[in-house]
Amino acid sequence: MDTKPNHPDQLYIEGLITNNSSVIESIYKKFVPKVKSYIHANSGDDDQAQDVIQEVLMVIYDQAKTKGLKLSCPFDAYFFLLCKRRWLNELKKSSSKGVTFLDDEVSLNESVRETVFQTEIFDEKQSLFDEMFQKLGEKCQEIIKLSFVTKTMEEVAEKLNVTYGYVRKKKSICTGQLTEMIQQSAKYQTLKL
Amino acid sequence: MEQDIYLTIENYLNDELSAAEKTAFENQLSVDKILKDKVALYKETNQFLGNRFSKDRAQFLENIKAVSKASFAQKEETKPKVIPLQSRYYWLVAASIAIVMGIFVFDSDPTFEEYYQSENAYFNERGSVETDLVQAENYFNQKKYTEALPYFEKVILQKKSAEIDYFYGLSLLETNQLSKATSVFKTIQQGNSLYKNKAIWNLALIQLKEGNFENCKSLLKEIPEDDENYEKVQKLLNELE
Repeated sequence: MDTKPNHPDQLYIEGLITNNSSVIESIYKKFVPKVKSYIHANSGDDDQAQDVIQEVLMVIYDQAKTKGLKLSCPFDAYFFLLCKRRWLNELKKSSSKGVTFLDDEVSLNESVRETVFQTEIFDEKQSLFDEMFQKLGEKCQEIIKLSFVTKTMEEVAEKLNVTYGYVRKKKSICTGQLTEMIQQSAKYQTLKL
Repeated sequence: MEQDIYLTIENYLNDELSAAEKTAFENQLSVDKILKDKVALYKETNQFLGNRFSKDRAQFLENIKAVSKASFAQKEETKPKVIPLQSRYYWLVAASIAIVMGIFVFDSDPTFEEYYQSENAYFNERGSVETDLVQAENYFNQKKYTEALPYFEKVILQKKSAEIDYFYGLSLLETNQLSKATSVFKTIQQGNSLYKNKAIWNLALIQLKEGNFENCKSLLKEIPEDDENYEKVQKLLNELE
């Protein structure tokens, strides 16, 4: 039972998961300029800044929707640190030399660091799921997608012109296959899912 | 068959097993750890997939893209308006240009001021405890470099970080303590952090400021071509040749 009161900035998380336009616009107005400046000062342009920001907002949304996300620190700090680290990671990938900047992480606030860490772990997990999903056969991908997009399995069966029993079975087999691929991947071991 | 188990798992998670089947399955789970883990992963996978392909998520993504587009486009529109000049002032403009050109002709060497760009530090979130680092950051971003220095000096005794060192170096540079700034940047140059090339760049600018063009050039040549700021480096090198 969660008896701790919510951090006032929890409203930003709520706003994101309910697709509240005024909250989203408020985030862009209040918190995005600082991220934009940082990226510009570190060899990035507008397009790259836009991408980083969108990707981070999507991860926050996904984490909040899938696992739940309770802020215990200001959204400002959390959001900025996520964007900053994501950008530095991008730079690291395109740089040919080994960069040790992650040791330079200076944020002193334990709560921010912890929340950022949780989100980054979630992001890695999700990337693994996405990666393995892409490796599934086309038929499996299609049936899984349809089963989540369409209201009932009966409708899915109709769309694919097969029986209800068949789609249910096939969907479960495909999902099972996906879990096997995830379990067997090296990343799964390191993430200790 | 091995694959049959997944349909059972799916039914179990959807609460579509009969009471008897459910009990049997739960008994199995209590003794079979591998199966238990499989079920947990299957459940988690369904959670991920459910969100991934939800209409809500697709709509959210659309919305983000739209707000983002508008937000970034807005910034570009706030360029200063160009006000047409009245014709009687054209002579003023012509004279000013002539003077500037004259200065330009006499001042052909590149200068420190032309190439040095101040930046902002972002160590900490706003609203956090008033630690030394927060003070340093605030003073630095307000361009109060003299006030920032003692705070930087306190922090670097406690924390080893190329990022902090870099901004400490900039503070020294801004307050014209060039030899101290040089030794700080040199330390970063010897490391392997993200600030390495930036440190070399500032070392080069210090040499430029002191009129040591040869030293400046050899430092600039240490910056690799794939560095994102290489355009500036190339430009300065060209001017110095």
